[in-house]
Amino acid sequence: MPNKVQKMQKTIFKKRKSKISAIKTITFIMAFIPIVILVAIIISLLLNSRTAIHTGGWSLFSAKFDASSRLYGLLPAVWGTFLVILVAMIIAAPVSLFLAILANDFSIGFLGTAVRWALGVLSGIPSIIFAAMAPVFFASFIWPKFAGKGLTETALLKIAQYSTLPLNGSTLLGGILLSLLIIPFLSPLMDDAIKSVPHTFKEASFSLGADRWHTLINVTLPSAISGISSALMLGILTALGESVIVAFAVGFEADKIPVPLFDILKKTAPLTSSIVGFSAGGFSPIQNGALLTSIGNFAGLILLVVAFVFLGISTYLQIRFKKRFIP
Amino acid sequence: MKITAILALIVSVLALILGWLSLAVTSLEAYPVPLLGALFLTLVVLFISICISHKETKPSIIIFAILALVSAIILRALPEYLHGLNINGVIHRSIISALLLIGIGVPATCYSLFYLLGATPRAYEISRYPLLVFPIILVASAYTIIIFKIIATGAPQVSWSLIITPFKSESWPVEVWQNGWPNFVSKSTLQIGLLNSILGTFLLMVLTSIISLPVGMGIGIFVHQYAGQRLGGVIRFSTTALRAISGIILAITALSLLHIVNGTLHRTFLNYLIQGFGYYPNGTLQIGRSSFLFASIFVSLLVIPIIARATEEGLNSLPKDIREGSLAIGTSEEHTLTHISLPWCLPNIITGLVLGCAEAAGALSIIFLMAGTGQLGVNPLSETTSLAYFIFDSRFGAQMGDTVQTYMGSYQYAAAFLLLIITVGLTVLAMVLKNKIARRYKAI
Repeated sequence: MPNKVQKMQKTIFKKRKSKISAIKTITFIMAFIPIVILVAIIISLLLNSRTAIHTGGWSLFSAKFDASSRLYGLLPAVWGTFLVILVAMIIAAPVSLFLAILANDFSIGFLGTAVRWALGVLSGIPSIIFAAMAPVFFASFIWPKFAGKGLTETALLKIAQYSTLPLNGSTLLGGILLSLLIIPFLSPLMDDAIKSVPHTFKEASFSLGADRWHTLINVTLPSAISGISSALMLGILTALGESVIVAFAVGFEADKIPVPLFDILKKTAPLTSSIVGFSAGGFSPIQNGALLTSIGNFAGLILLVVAFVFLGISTYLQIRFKKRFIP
Repeated sequence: MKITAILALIVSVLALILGWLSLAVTSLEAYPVPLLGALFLTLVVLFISICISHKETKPSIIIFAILALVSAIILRALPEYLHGLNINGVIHRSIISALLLIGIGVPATCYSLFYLLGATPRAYEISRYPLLVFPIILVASAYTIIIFKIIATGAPQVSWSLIITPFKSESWPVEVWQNGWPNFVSKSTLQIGLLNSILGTFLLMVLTSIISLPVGMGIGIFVHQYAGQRLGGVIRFSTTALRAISGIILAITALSLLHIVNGTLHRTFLNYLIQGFGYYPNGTLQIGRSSFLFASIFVSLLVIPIIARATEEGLNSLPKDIREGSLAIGTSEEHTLTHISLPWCLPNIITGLVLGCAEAAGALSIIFLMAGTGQLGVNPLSETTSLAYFIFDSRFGAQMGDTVQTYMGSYQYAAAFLLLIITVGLTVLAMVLKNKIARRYKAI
């Protein structure tokens, strides 16, 4: 008799175990999909950028891009990326920090909830809508302020040439539109960072007689600094990867580094939109040559490396932030 | 002292308003210089009155007063248009005056508010609000311009007939009998409508969620339930990396896949599957740039991380007692997972799915290199198109001789309006669901 019971138990146990392992295998396979795809993307980029490395060599990192004279330097595009992100973060970082502060420490009544809801609604606006608004911002801001809208043609020609005016796109416009995209994304992350500072810290500060502003400046923000900078890294990452807005507002070509280095009124296309230009955007019926497509893949490789660096820093900061507050 | 503080407050708020306005308008050139002069005077008076009543000297106020005077002098000396210095463009004076007005107006407002409220600690707190709020007002006005422009231009264009008719522009020869002889006359129809783009958006959403829901849930369950510390970390990192690396990288990977398929001479089923196809009404087979199925596989790479994160959060939030109670009455691990844990995190998954749908509706960075205008019809195997691509195409398509855009380019605001309704509606839905979930946690 005990044998029979043992046998039954064994079969039941086996059945259960096999069922468990079925779910485990399925989820195991699914969990490896992102890793496999990431590796596949890297391999595809490497394979496709072989032609570019063969023809270009080290000149891929030179400071001039001119397809007619066989100069394929990607440094202008890298610099353009830096400039666009700089403009976007100068606008977006303080504003989203202030929004996060208003939602937390300086909230009055429903202000915090209202700020969070407004940010949530704004985060639903896709990037193409900001991009499509580039002409509106150009007509109402860039043209009158930076391109001499009020001047007559002769007066304008006396002081500047048409080719140097920011008439169809500039880094500044791209940066402004990018910052509008980033703020609803960045501010909730900063909000989380500020929210997760333990209450005891603030209460200790209050009990010493400090007011809310002093507590914010001297206690809350320094404690949340690694969370905030991790959020900033993620914001930079979003700005880095955005391609539609910069394609609309900056353009596709980065042929040389702007002469005053920080001239944001020139069109210096960042890496993302240069990739669009290289790989013959789907809107053009003429396909670019294999070489330019390959250079696009190489630029994608650069972008990937930069993105991984920022992602790594952000992940490290997040881990540090967690270690600090969660014992 | 109160009177001087009120005076300073009024002048500095006026300066702020003028700065805000002159960011957008160029015709207010007469006002900044006198206003900065008035700001200088009121700040000096405020400084003196503080010296008298509080018996303290506040050097920072006098510094800002001097700054106001200096900037008034600078503005007076500047010509209307600045150029040269190797800088591209002709800079108008108003942008400089706006920056100066804002830069001095914000601290002046803070100081005058502080002394108006009696220089108490509470007043100190309140006097920090202008500093926090004014940049937000600037950015909020930019958002307002965008949303107002889209609604004001797009909403009047949208009509029921625009939504339910597909775009059609065809011309074909018709045999007409004239005087006993056949004569060929070219006949054409033109239908204006956005139906294909709208249906394409929804199809993209549906296909993306069908693909990404099982994968995302699988990743979330595996990371929470089975993976160790290290493996879980690797999987989590690569999942976030998929979302964090730029969409354009995914797009060029998809493009190189398409190029491989393009290179093959024989048209096999795989070609049609990846590239998509459709028939024109006269029966000719037309091959698209990429099919909905192919595009939605790549779009779902952006949605998988959202759903995986949502599933994991939901599983983490399950109270331990419930799970252990289920295990204690003898159910298996798997039974607990399917009957206790997953139903518990279902609202989280739905929230993630709704957010993912909003993402898919607006996802352009993946598809804009390979989508088409949608004249080949809408089914999973035809050419990709969506509202977002329509807006993108309205800028570049008409230059390239695209028939849709030559007739419908002016409808981009209508498309933007519809897209805005879809994505914002889905996002608000997700937020409402999130709030419901948060309330459930409180109940336990």
